[in-house]
Amino acid sequence: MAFLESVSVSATEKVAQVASTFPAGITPFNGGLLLVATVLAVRAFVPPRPLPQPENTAQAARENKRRSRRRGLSRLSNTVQMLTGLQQRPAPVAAPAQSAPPYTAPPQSTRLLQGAFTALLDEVFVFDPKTLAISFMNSKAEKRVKSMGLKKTKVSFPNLLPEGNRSVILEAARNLQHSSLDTIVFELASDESPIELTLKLIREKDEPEYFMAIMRDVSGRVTEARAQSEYVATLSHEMRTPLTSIKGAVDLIASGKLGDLSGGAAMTLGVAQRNVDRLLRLTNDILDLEKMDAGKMHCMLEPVALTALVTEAAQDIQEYARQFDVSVNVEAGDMDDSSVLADRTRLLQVMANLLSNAIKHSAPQDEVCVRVEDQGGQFRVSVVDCGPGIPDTVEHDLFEPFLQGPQVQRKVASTGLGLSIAKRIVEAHSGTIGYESVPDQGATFFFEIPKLDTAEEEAA
Amino acid sequence: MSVPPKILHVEDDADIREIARLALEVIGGLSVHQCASGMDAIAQAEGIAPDLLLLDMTMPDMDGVETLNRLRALPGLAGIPAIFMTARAHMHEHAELIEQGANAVISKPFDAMTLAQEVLTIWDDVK
Repeated sequence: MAFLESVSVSATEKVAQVASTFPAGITPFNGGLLLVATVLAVRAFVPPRPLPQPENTAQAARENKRRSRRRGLSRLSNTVQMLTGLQQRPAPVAAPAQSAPPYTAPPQSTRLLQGAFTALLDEVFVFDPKTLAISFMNSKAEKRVKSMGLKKTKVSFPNLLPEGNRSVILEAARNLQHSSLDTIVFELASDESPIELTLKLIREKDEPEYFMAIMRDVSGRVTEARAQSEYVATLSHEMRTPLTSIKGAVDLIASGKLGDLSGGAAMTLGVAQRNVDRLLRLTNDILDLEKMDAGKMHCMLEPVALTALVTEAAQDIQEYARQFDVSVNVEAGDMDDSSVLADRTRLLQVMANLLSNAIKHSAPQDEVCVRVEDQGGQFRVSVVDCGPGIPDTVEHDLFEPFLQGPQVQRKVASTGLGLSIAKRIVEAHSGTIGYESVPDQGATFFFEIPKLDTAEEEAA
Repeated sequence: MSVPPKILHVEDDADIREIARLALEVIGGLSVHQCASGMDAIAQAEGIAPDLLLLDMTMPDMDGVETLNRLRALPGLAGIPAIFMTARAHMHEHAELIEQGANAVISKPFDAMTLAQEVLTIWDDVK
């Protein structure tokens, strides 16, 4: 993974070791596609170096007061001092009188830890959820603050954000505190270069929460991703073109419309037909996998209105549905606020997959129904069809790739990957995906995503 | 069913052209003129006077969108219905193509046995 290349392996190990000595409240984020964030979460819990000491005692006293007001963060300050051996330096700002931190680390690792933290090519900031003032930053972060002309001691998190993104990110950060997620990743397109911002909410048992923000220059990755998706598009075209010709030729000859075929010729042609179809399916699968991998790098979460997205997906698929003489209906109830934290493009992809499956399995004149339901802490989106349903004999997991099998009758060949892609996307949104089916009565495929609570709902 | 359209098909790959011709003429009984590039199509279009365009998206020199725009700029061809043929499979990618001027999109690889029928269904919708 690209991220691991920026820190030497031994440093990463040391970080992981130290991270494992921290209280159990800090656990890596368990998510499918946000594996990237997991790596960051483990690495990012390298305790940040405290701000360099202020020059005079009056300033020191002010600094001290500000810190003591934030209990949790001062506790961290003590911890940091202990772990980075800073108590050996000339006495810093009189630390607020707090109980000793509950964990220690062997002295050798602190130097390595400090080194690793300094070596981090990412900028790490720690800030308080209420005041948004930044209390700790690593050296790379200091450089940024300096280059922005801001004072290290007086910078707040909003100062770091480009104006256009500021309110969305702050809103998302506020909502993170009310949701079951603990990490969000943003891509900020700024004038200089694209930046990936990871916001992690650190929740320790019995401790006030605080945020850790990690900012990383991803211009390299963006170029890579662009090249990758261009490659996939070209590959897609290059492979599909000759396959079109072969399949077309074989099908045309087999139809008999280009001349009569002997029995032997017809049978042999059948071999060619079956295998061309097989090759086509395989090609599609491989290309989908490629797309999935390329897509892994970009899962951009932002507040999204779920009902609007679902309606858009239904509209997008109308043309396809018409080819099968199937109608698509959306039932969303009257929900004022259907906000979720999501990547629009990826969710649209999930909808497209579920809808096209439902349509493919429906008979002409059938209706596919899409429902959005409020389930308290989450929303459930269901796609209901009246097709043949999923037979009881299906033993394998429909959400695993490449399972086409004769057990599931399909009118139109599909690649067998769509559901597994959908599952990965839904899981990256901290959601769950599943299906219910009664054979011969149709199937309902659904996914559930946690709500994005608004402050008002929380207060109510 | 309306009168079948005279089709102008623009596609750079010779084999795909041949398969498409067989699919449309032999299987579908439709009248098809074919060009290997956007430039050729622009040069010959007025003489052919087609009713419907079938355009490959990815061609060297001039792509499907540019070919469409320049063909529609020719006298007598303003607003002529067009179908894009593309290897890109995603629904939202199809929607994007329609925004770029196509009336409909047919995926590649296309099914030679049903291509003519698909084209006629689109033609009926458009008319």
